[in-house]
Amino acid sequence: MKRGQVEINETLLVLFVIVLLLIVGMVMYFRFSLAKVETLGDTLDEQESTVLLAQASTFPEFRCNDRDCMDTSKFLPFRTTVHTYAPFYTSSLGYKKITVSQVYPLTTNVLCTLELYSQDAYPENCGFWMLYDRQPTPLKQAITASTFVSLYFPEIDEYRIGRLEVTRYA
Amino acid sequence: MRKGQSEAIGLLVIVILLVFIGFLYLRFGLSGKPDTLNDARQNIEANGLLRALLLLEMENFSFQEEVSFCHTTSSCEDLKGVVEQVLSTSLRADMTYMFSLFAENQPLLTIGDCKLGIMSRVPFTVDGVFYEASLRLCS
Repeated sequence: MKRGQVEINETLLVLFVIVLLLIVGMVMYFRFSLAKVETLGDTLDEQESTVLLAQASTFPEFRCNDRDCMDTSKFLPFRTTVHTYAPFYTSSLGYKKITVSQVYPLTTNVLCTLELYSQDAYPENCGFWMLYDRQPTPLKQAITASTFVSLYFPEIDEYRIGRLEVTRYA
Repeated sequence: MRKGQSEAIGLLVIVILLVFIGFLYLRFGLSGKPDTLNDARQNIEANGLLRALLLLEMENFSFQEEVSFCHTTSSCEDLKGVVEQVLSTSLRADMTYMFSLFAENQPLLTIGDCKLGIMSRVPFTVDGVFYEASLRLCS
């Protein structure tokens, strides 16, 4: 092989290494960019859940008239409202589960229904309300965040302590 | 340019590229997730629990009446018992708290021990007396 051919081969080899490094760099860059976009998406979803958590107790659908609390007598009608205006609530709330449970005083872990509500033993005969539940198929992930709320029971004129839970599905 | 010089420049380019790739890795791969959301949630939780506690009103107990009773008679055992019961049943087992109550800016009641954490304060009045309750949550 002549000297000129050796130098051309050497140059080609250096160019090949440089191109290889550039390709590896680009692949890494796009991989990390994609990971960052996915993380940002998760963060935005979490922020949305946090905002919902902070605002849910002030929704006109179930807030008290004069105090900073949730009126438990509005929970069961809200389920009917969600079914009646399904397109509005599915677009505004998306894939989520929203529940409220009584934490003080401690009570039974039974879902409150219209049947239990109409009994004399209410509100001692049940302990939590399902306000909204819409799951995607297939369900990949469910992340729950919660806060405390004041629960008003107009039937007995009492204010108790409850926990509002927002589960975000993905 | 001599052959040695051109080879040195080639090596320099490769080193610069490697440094650039390393920088990209450090920039995107090792950047930690910000913790502000957790703080925001803990703040919402502390604020919600304190506000719910202040509104607590049941058949034989009213939080605000009990606060007034505690202030006028200096007998705060019932109030302390209920606050401890509420906080211990509501909060997670790994979470500690410090609940403080002030009447006219004078300390009235302090429960628990927790120095570093998210704190929520809520002022309120009962029978013309200014009170302030604070709850600090640590986890």
